[in-house]
Amino acid sequence: MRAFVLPGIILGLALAWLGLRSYDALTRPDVPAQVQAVVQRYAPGIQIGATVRELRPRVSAPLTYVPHLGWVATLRDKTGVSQLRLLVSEQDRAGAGADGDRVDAVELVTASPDAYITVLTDLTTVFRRMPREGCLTTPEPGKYREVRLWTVGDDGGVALVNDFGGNTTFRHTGMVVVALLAYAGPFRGSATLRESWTARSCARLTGLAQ
Amino acid sequence: MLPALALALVATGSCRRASAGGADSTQAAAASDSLSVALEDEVGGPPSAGGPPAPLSPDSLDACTALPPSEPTKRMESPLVTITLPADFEPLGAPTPSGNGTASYQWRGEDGSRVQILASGASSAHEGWTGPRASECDFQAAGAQVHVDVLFWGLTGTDRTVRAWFDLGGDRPRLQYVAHARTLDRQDELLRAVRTVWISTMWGVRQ
Repeated sequence: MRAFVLPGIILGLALAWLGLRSYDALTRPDVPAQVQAVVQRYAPGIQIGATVRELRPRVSAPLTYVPHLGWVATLRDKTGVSQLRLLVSEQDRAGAGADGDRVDAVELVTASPDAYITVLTDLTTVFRRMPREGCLTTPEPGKYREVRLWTVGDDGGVALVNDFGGNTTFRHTGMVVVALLAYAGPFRGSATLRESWTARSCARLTGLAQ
Repeated sequence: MLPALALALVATGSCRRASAGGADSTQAAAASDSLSVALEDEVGGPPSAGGPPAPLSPDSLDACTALPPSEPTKRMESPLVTITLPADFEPLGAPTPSGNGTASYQWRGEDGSRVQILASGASSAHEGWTGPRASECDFQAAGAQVHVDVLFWGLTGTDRTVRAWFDLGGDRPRLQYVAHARTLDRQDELLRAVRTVWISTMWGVRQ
């Protein structure tokens, strides 16, 4: 009987390991190749669907947990200062932040001049079609953010967000904050973009265009 | 240290809002907005007063000025784009071709002023940037409808910018000209350079 104890333990551990791997594979979202390609270009090594534990070694700056949003690192490079935001699911962000949090979406935010045109040109090349337009309403009156959105069916997409040129209020003269947000799964408006989304351009929303 | 402090403040602020209750999406939006403000302040320093763009500077240029380039100049030639720039400008590396028949170019002057030409995915001249425009002008050149903006104030206060947007019509990729000048005289030179741009009929034609 004792002869079966050790193989039994090994078999049990192997099954448990296989079970965990299968669970991980089943719960990890499928990310469209175009979306992951964009993430790899601007945030090499980062993967949507990975856990914070897996990604932490690949981020060159410390990650700080921001409640209700996810994990954030402030990066410095030749283009200046930018933020890498590892956005976690609604379920995970209700917690206090854990290494096991799964990254639901990746967002890069920068105030680098000309970032918008550079990224827009890249995205147009990758997706080879015009984006949908939308607008985010911020808590600050008179301040809107334009959205260009490329989706890959219900499998994921990329949003390019920038300060609206028709804003009547701004914090720093001439500065444009640009965000690139990549996500997996269906687009769910405000829930996906973490801001109040309207499926109309900011120009139309503010009455500057018909 | 500063970014860590800013993040800590954002994190603390978000916690307070959380305890006050409210929908998850509202809290996520508040956290996102606070983070963006922290980034803006780190890059831009103390916030400028909100409100409409600043009034025109008395020494700002007229975007409709149609004077020839001031000598000495140098002609920068390539198969897709040619431009005449002040003689001290040098290319910053080789042109970067893209798969859609366009390319991007950069030049730099001795004083650090820069000129960039690249394809633009924007659908209008003012898309994707903001700032106080001192002057703007529409005219036709290089086989395109051109819109030029002159900005007299940049992020650092010494960045005088000229932006030009060339709409070639149809499905052809638009061309964007962006110049960052160190001085008013330099901005004048780089504004005049806009009218020297030549664009090949092969621009935007896939090879």
